[in-house]
Amino acid sequence: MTLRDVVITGVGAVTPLGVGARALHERWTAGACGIRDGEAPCADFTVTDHLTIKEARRADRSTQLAITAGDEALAEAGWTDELPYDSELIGCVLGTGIGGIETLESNHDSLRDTGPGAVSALAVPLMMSNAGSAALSLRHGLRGPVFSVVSACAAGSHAIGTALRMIQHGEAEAMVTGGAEAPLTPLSRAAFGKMNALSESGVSRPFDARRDGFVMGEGAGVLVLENGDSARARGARILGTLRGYGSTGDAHLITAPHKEGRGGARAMTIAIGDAGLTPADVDYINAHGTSTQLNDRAETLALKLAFAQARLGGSRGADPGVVDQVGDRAPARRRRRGGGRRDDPRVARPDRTADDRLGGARRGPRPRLRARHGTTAGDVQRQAAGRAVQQLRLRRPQRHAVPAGGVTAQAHRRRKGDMSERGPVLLTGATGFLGMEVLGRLVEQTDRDVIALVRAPDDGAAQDRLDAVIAMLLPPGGRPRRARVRGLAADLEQPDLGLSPIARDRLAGSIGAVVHCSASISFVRRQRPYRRGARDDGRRCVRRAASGACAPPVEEYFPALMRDARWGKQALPRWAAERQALQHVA
Amino acid sequence: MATKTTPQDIETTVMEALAKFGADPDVLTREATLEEVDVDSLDLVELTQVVEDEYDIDLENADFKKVKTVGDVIDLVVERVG
Repeated sequence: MTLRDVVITGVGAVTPLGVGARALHERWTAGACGIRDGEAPCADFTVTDHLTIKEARRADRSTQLAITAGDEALAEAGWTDELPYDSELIGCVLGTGIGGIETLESNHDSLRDTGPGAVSALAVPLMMSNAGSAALSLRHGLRGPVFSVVSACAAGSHAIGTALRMIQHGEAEAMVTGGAEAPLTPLSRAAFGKMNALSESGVSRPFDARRDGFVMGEGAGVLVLENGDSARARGARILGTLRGYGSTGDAHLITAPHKEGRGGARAMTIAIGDAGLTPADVDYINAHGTSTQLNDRAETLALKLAFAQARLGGSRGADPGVVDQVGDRAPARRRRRGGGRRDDPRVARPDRTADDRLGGARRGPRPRLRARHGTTAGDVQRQAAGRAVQQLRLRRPQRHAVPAGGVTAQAHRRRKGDMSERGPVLLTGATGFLGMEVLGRLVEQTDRDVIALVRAPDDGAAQDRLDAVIAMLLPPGGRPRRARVRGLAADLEQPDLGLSPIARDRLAGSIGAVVHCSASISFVRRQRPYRRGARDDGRRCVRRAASGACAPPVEEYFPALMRDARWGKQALPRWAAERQALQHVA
Repeated sequence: MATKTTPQDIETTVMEALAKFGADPDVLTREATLEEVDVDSLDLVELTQVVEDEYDIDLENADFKKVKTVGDVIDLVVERVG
């Protein structure tokens, strides 16, 4: 039996990055972060902008998000005025982990506080896990198969896979599918907290050695899938093709994936085979990446298991070029929107710490996947910062006589083996990805004073921004160290850094070293000549300004855009820097 | 009931509840049919909860069978409150 091909004709999303798939894509590729105070709510979503009072009252928040995402997807597919097929041949399958938990909790509050009579007559239709698919069916008159699938974090992907099969096998001509979740409630918070699954730092950093759990969020993603032949016949705009699907179970623990990632690997292998492809054909992977220790470790291994085969087989194209860790909500949408574009976020590869722990000597030769993709942006950042600071420390100071009368600060510093007599370190890019790490190490591991150039209206504002970075970098009580860091309002793109000639000369005459971690890189303009130009301009600019009227005091120079063998000729991606900086500083 | 409930009180309660459920205030009059103000059976179930709590009466789904207009709903409640 020949299976029908299935195409994507509409996408919709409501996410912490905004209302709309376009908002999600634009803000995501720009490195924006939707996390506020340790959670990621859909803060831009105002229900009355999208639903009537009655519709809003008849829907739990998770369903409200699904309806809004669904409206966008159907509009993009051109279904707004009229369904393109017999309504009995169009169904809806959505995925959810919990369903209407907000409704459940509020009604339980009423039951406990007032009694059974206070429980809403709408409690059941609002809280049931299939409320989302039912609501989309009602709203758009979809009379084909309508139900929801419930499988925790995998629910959205399972829903898309189920919808794919229904069209492939002729049960439906088109399907509205995706997932929705709105679990920012007291009970879910407490419950996930008890599992030790939530990030204490409130930062989501999948595949990073410092990951400490996930950050709770909410949102919905909806796709319109159609029989390819029918969609083409009606002249629909085809956004992408859904080629394959695989699904497996670990039969392991209820709270953790199998530690070797075999189940995950098998699902990927099945999906790739189902699509009639080989791992070598895959350009982009939308990883689960929960930022928990257990998941990311197992998922790293699963990816290696699923993709290493092709590498060992000698295919050069086998790199899973892009691994995205944002979540599982709408992998197909991301593949469609982001895959293959120059500007798509090249997200964390399995990080080295996890890699070492898992794929190191004890496990025999590392899968070749690591050769180019076994490193994260954070990893490069840490290594680079380590090298930069090490170089500073290796420059030993010239010997000075220690004045009688006790151990001076100078002598103390000398004993610690770093140099400090030569003036403060001039640091650029201190609020950026690499610069932050360098700043932290300069303060923690050396005794040098630091003057940090920060783009700000005045020195006070510059100092505020720096203080925010330092507060994040250093443990509480780091005030004495913080006092060694002075912010200076400056703009690297201006002649003389935007400083007055006097300020420029004073700076140039005082500093003992320059650590240049900044680069003016447009995320949009990623062409290599532009990047090189921006980097070299920054370099020249700092040199020129720092040298000023006196002898060049530049002792160290460290380019922001590093070339690393494992990254090939690629520079450290700007998006990674921006994302990290936003997460840490915003 | 500690205080005397007037038919006007009941009308206000019903009208406010229906408006809260999303009925269009511009067309919400005694004469309007439930269809015209987009009040369906689920709204009536919710309304039952509101008036039962407020006036300590019992209403059944069957009681609404002959109800056609907003005024009918108000009269039904007034009758039960007695």
